[in-house]
Amino acid sequence: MAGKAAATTNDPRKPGSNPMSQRMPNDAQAHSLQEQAKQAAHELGLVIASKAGDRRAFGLLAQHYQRQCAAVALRLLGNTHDAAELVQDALVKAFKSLDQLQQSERFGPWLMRIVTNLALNYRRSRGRRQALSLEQTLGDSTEGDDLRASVAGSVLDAPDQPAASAELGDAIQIALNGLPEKQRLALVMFAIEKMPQKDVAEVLNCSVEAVKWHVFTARKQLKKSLGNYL
Amino acid sequence: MQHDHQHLDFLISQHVDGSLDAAGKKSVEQRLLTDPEARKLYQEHREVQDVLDDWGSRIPMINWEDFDRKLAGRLEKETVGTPAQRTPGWWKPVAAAAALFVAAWGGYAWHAISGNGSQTAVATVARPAAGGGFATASVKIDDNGSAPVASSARFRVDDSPMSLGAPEATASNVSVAAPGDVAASEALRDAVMSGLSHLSNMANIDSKPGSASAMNGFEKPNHASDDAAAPVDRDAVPPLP
Repeated sequence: MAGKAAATTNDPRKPGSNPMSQRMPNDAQAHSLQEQAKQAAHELGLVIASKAGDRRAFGLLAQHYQRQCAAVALRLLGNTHDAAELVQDALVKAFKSLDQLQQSERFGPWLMRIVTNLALNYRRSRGRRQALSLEQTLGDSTEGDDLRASVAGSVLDAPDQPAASAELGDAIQIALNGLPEKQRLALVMFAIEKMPQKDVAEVLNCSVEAVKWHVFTARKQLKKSLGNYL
Repeated sequence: MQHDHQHLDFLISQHVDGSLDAAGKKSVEQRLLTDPEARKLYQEHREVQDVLDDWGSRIPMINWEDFDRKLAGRLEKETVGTPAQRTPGWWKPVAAAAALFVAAWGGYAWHAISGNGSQTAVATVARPAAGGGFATASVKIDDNGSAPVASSARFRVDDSPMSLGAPEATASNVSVAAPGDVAASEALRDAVMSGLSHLSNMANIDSKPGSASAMNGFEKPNHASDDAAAPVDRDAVPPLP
């Protein structure tokens, strides 16, 4: 899943510029498009081979997507270990459910949908476990520290980050956790992980316009929540 | 006024995201030049997005070699438990033929043992299709007491199953059209004939369970003159409830 499309370099306001150039890609763009098409074709081949039970092909697909999946899972769960486990589960589930993938060329968004669904389920079950744990261990300060680490996401990976940055990271994670589900997912996938809006819309099962709106409202909410840090 | 403000805010948010088209981008940029309120909104979005960009640049510290190894192990385990993903492609037709044989034999045994004089038969006949592969027809025949009726028919060419619904072909009108394929049509006709033959021999089956003549109750009618005919299966099942 590539990042946002690069802005066009053809300026239609330039005197004497060729009107066709607004529609015809220049050499760099053409090369980029060719590369994307080549990559898409290669990926489609891997998906088809995986559907036929080729584990090696699926392994290559997994290697292509696992970092982005882990990054999204980490932003949603706030814990690297949980994120890695969740991505493993998601990839195994994807491999087992490949026959349900209708559009083989949309493997990326489909996989990300599995990741986000698992992450949301995990968060819900973790929330229930923590509520139980809180009731049972009320007053135990050690448990409270563990809970804070887990909820606030202070286990984020950046061992050498300064304390202020770690504090801001915690604040962002808490603010993200407080957002409504779709706003949080839209913000993480689009504004942070730079997934294309079309793919995010597919994962969230909504329109591209709705994705833009979710990102807008989420960022406004974050502005309020992070007021002291900005 | 409030609506206009929110609309402007939303447009500026999209500008920060780079998701405006050229006209929208130009419009927002002109507004930013002249409107301090617009600049303030832009500043707010930019500030939050910069923080998110910085935070998002931290990548998960995962040992990917371990990750890949563990994943490969789990996939292998999953595959071992899933026969469909490691058996070769020929298993499906073989399994289908075996199932058909079991169904036919089961039907025969059921008739032979129960001896209830069933008035329903299902016959399946196949022959080479015009475009390659086989045209297979399967017809259920009901005898309602007055005249045998083909109450439902299915046929397929290669792996494309097609249902004819319930053509209600009577015994005297067995030439139910099979669209676009003469061989399929012939297979369908033969299936109907086979079903009728089965019905007519049922008394024989019931009176002599397990005998050679009882087996003949499942035989296809004589089509010795038709060299192209390639019956690969004949089937009979117990009456439907």
